[in-house]
Amino acid sequence: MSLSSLANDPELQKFVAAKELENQLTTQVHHLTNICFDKCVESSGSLSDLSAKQTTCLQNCVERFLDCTMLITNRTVQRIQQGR
Amino acid sequence: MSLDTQKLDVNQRQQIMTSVQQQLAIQNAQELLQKLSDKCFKACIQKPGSTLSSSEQKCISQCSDRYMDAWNIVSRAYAERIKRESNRH
Repeated sequence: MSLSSLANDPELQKFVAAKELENQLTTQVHHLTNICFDKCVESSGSLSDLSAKQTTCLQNCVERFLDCTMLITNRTVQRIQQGR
Repeated sequence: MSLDTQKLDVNQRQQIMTSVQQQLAIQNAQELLQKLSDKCFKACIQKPGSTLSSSEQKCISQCSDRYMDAWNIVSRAYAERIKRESNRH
């Protein structure tokens, strides 16, 4: 089995591309959980069961983190386009 | 293995796919274990003593359960956001 036989297999390429995307999404979930667990669960003391409040906090944490990322990305792109 | 080395046969392809899948699953599990250890050590072990006390052990198991709960909630919220964003464009 040579490397070129791996690279020339369209079905395998499709599979690897799909797995790569899946892996990126999983990595992002690890990253978000890492941040939001500190904000919403660890800091609030109770570990016995997730409260409704903690659950809502986790959901909001994901949404606001992504808003934040998009805002920063857009502003940075604008800045680059304006040549500043 | 076939004489035509440029082409994979069905079994070879399947073998590679299974191996890729397994490697990703291992990587994912390692990442999760690493995060669980970090978070729950920080949350539960204030002053490391000569053994893990029973209250520390209880805290660690609760903390691990909550981290997994949080992982699932975050995963769902993230998936929904991606779905919403892709509908918007």
